[in-house]
Amino acid sequence: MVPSPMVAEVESPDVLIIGAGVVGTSIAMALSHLDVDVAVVERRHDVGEEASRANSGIANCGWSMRPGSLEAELVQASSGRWEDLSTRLGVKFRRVGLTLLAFTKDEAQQIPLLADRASSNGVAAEIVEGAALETVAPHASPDAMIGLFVPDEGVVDSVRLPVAYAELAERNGVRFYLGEAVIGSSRSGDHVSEVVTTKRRFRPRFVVNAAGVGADQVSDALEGENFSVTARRGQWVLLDREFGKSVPSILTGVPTNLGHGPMVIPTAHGSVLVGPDAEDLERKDDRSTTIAGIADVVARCQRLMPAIDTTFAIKTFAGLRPHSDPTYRVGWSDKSSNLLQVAGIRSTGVSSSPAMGEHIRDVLISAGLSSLPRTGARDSLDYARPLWWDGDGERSAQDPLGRTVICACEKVTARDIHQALQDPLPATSIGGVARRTHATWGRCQGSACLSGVAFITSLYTGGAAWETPMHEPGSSIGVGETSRA
Amino acid sequence: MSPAPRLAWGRQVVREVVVVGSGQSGLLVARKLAAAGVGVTCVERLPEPGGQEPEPETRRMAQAAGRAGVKWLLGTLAFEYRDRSVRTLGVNGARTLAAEALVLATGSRPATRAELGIAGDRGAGVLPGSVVHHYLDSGVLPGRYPVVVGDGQLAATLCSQLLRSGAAHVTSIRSKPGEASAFPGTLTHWNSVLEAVEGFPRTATAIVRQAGESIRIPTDAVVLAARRIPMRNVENAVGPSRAVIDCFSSADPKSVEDAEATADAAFHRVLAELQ
Repeated sequence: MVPSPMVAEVESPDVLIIGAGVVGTSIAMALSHLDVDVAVVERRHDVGEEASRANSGIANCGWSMRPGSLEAELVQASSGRWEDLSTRLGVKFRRVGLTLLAFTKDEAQQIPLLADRASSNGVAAEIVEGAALETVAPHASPDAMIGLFVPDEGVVDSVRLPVAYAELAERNGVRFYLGEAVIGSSRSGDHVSEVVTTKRRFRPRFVVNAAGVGADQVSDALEGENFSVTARRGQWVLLDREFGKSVPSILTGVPTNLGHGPMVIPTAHGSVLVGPDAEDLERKDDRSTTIAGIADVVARCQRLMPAIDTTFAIKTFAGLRPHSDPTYRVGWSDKSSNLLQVAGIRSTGVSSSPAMGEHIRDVLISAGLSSLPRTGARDSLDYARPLWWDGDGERSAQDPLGRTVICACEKVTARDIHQALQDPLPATSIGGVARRTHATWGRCQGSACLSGVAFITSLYTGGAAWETPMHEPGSSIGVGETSRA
Repeated sequence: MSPAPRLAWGRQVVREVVVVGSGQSGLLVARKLAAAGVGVTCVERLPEPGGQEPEPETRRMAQAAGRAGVKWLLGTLAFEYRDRSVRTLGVNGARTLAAEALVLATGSRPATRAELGIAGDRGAGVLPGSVVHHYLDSGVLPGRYPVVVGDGQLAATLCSQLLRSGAAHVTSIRSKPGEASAFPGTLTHWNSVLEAVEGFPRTATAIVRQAGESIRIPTDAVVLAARRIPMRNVENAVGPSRAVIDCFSSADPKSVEDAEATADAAFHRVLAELQ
């Protein structure tokens, strides 16, 4: 039979999740414990490539949320679970605490109100002044008059997190279709009967729109309700671990109408993030940084912590938060009975992800999805991968690849890199390897190791060495072979 | 050069020092220390002494260091300095070496994008000069119309290497005014700063600031070969402290005399630390 281009492959999962960011992958992981068939489709070449690839990494404990909202409920339900979850998934987490600083009388008046809000959210918070402020936040500016200390705020390796969610989901049978965009749909009565991607057709029972900054376009393609998602860009500066020694906890200012403003954030790995600013953009793929934006972020963070020193800057980058009005659009579509919208999760996607998956699972079960558990489903990754120099040195030294350090700044061995390229959801680009291992992400930014990482990656991606992708298709490391002189 | 001083302590106590890196400066300081009676282990990431400078000169220096009693730990990374000892991982497994002083002779790298303050998109094709060097050696042409940023030896070498390897046109961005000589075969912008790059998934435009004006240069690769920054990747020894001694010369291009002077200064600082 001659295959017709019109007859693409057809899949009929119980649930089709659109989007493999931190939201989509957390839902996939929760559903993977049920005896149901789940597929995830993602337009980018890897999981966690959009909003999830560049964010604060804060695991918010919910202290400042609007009490009673679904967002507050999910963030609070997630907060206590990070220690257990991060151990099971091999994702770094630290409960570092946060101090909010007031510099003016007006700001100081907000502190008791914010303390009340924390207490209505059931979150511990303490008003601190003078010596107490200095104890909880020794790095804070001496100009701060008063502060609010929130001990339960945490930081997580938010880049690794969606990869880990997806890996566990994959191990439990969820199928991932990466590099496929949703381009259309068919309806039957009041529901979506078919979802068409650039490569195949899905006939799912339920569709979950977790497409982040693209959720409005996906809703359009599925003939769901009209809404718009704006990409809110935030610019960041990453400072060296060496500077991180002087940043024990998160510092932030009193929120205004424009949000929290830039923060000083120790990362799960000990480096420091400074940012973000907030700017709504026309283009949804604009992750560019600007000289003025970076300078502004640094200046505003120096108000919180005057010792911020940009000679420790390792890199500058920008991330996008999906902002919609109303924010946090989580629920059944008005237009389609089997379309569940999980959109506009602006800044708490990471923080609410541990509970989000289970919330969506329960919503689907009440709509008739089987609640039978999958037999033999695992709830942890068996190769939780501590960096070898965090205590895995002996095990690492036992194999030759583990003795070969490729990235000296982040201490990544050849074994780590090969592993990332062999995982259940393997890296398929240099950027994918970096996200899974941190190789090339240290203070020399790949000056010493990028070529090594590229050539190991090329062993797996196939093609000529120059074709090895940095990230998306079209991002090869070279343009061809060198000519022989 | 003044004769090397001998250490004042008795022969029964050998003071241990670790030298990280076995380029010219590392080899010279290791030899001087061993000749002065210090126990020296030289840790080199690559499989043979000489590091990234495997010239005949370096080979002779390595032989001289070996004769003076320097112990080698090759194919090994020194990754952490803690409690006066250095932790390493390499072809012979994990080791912990006593080190009353640590000499960092780990060479240099070009300035990163953040250090140069380059804004714009994160498309493929913005590459450290050191990586481009490896790519070209391995047959990968990073771009046909590359822009090379930098004034020193690395930039000069890469411009000529790129032209020989199949680049159709190389633009050289120089921070200095035009009195210096241009790298042969390049179109040179003097007194210029690379401000931003645009293009995703691949870099397409370099935006260069020159005399208060922005110039847009179409390109498919931006090569960062500006400045020489000391390579620092031994944890807890990223910045020099009392027992961590820097052996780095910012001279560009670097001569054997520069390496000698750098090694000599580091040698005397180690002795002072051990006294």
